[in-house]
Amino acid sequence: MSALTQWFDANLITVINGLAYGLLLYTLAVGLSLVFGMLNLLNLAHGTFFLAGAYVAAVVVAPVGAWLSWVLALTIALATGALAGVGLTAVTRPLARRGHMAEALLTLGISMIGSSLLLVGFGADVRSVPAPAGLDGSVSIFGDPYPVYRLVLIGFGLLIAVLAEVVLERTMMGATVRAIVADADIVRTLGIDTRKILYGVLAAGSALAVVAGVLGGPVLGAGPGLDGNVLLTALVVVVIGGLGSARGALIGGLLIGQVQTLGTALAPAVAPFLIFGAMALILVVRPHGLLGRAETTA
Amino acid sequence: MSTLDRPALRVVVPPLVVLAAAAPPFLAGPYAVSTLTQILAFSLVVMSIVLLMGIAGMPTIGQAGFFGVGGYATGLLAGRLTTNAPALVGISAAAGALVAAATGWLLVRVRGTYLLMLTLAIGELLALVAIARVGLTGGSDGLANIPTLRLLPGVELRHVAVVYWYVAGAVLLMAMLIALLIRSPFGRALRGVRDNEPRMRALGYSTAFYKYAAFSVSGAFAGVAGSLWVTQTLFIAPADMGFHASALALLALIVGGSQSLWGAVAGSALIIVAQNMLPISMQGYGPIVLGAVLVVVVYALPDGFAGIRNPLRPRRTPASRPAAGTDEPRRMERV
Repeated sequence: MSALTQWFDANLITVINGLAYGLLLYTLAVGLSLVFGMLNLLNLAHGTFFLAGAYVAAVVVAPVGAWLSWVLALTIALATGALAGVGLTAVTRPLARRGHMAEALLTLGISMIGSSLLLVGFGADVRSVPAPAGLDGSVSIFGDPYPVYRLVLIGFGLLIAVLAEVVLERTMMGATVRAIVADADIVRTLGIDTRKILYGVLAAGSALAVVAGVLGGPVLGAGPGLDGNVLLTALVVVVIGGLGSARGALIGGLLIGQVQTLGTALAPAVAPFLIFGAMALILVVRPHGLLGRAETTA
Repeated sequence: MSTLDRPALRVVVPPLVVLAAAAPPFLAGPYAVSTLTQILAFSLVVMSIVLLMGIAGMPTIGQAGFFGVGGYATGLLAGRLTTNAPALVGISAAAGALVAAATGWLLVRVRGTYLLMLTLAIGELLALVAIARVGLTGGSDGLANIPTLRLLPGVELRHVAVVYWYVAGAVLLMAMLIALLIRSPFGRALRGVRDNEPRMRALGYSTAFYKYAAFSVSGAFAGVAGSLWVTQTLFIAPADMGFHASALALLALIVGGSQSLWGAVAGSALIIVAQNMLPISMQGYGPIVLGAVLVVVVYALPDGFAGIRNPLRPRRTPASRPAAGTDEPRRMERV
């Protein structure tokens, strides 16, 4: 046991970093997972939404750095994300009969256009995003200084996880969402208008992606290529957890958060292998992810 | 199955194809010819995905990984073992097939998006091997200083036209092999697995074995493509085998039409031209154009470029195909 406590003592900060990163990944991935579960839509523009959020933070928060501008950035992110989600639903619905490859490619095309426009608009330089005033200090954790902002990330991620859990598991609307994931046709035969729910979930998922971009800005910066990286990582998270499962996204996010940060700290040479290795390993043991069900993959 | 069903066309088309394929070095400048060479080499990767995804129904976004295996095999052995290009093609095919066979047993267990993600992981891991073994592969800078290959003792593959003829001939040969494979009982069984796996299993086919074989064979073709690519560029880097390259190959497949070998060439042409020319001449607008083309294709051409080919012929839908592998004769399609 003492070896374990020693290990924790040495790596505590890394573990907390991993927790913050993992919850950020969850915020990004939960929308991706639910959207896939409900619409059978693999939204490859999700990373672009995240990058757009990071740029919102860079533009709105960076010059002033005040608390209010951060709240403003989050509000803008929520609004634009929801709008983008509604727009995305509208353009992908006509393709729903053609199977998920056509829809995935449409979102890939949209993301290529979107990312290029961001590149044209904001340039190729990586922009650093400051943490908002009041949250940019550090606190002492077991004697080590630790940035407050990452604790805020953890708080935010937990808040969203709790909200998602309550809405999905304890409300009528959440029950409808879960029912649509399980079998949309049956839900329609019950006289429920699934379209409203579809629009709502894609709007909420996209809004969360943009918000995750604003939140993640101070940690990851904002620059070209970030969109692809976070999309890949989010896909890994979603696949590990099981497509369509919000809890799975939480587990996957926390797992990949630890794998990534601990891997980089302890074994930098093989760190890039690790998240894909972890995914391959989990898919070998559980072909539908940790909490996924066979039906969602058809 | 295609236009080749008509006996007259069957006689006329092949020589015409060979003639058309041999012509470019007489008609175009060296830059255009070398671009064409790249298009053809790339189209072979796309054809390997036609076999895997269009015929066997296994989506992949890791095929560039096996392309890279073939490319590195050729690049690394060119200086050490032999500079004989056809021999290196054979070695690269074996290397691609071996690596695909070593990873394929994981893939037959999963399907759909999970399969897509697992192939992505395999492709990325292969690219990361190339990055990590710096001493051997030059790391992320890539493998340069590959010596010029020889077609025969004394015939160097140095001149753009010679390289083009070699690559075009090899791709034509491989495309014929793939076409034969698609039409063989093996190919029909793969279609059966794609369209109705439980039924194929009920008929006594080991569907896992067929999927495994399809994956290994397509790995071999991707390896050959890598070898041909390196013959022309004399350079290969991990970026050529990672997610981005695989995604471009998949794009070429979809834009071309996922079951057509001609479509694979057309799609590859679009991708390579967009990659090579637009960033310079249009200051980074290449991805926008590619994205816009993708959006248009998805909406307007459900079967990709291959879908434009025959407006007079009634379109076949996958659902109307006979279940392959049964003894049903090939469906009559002439109108």
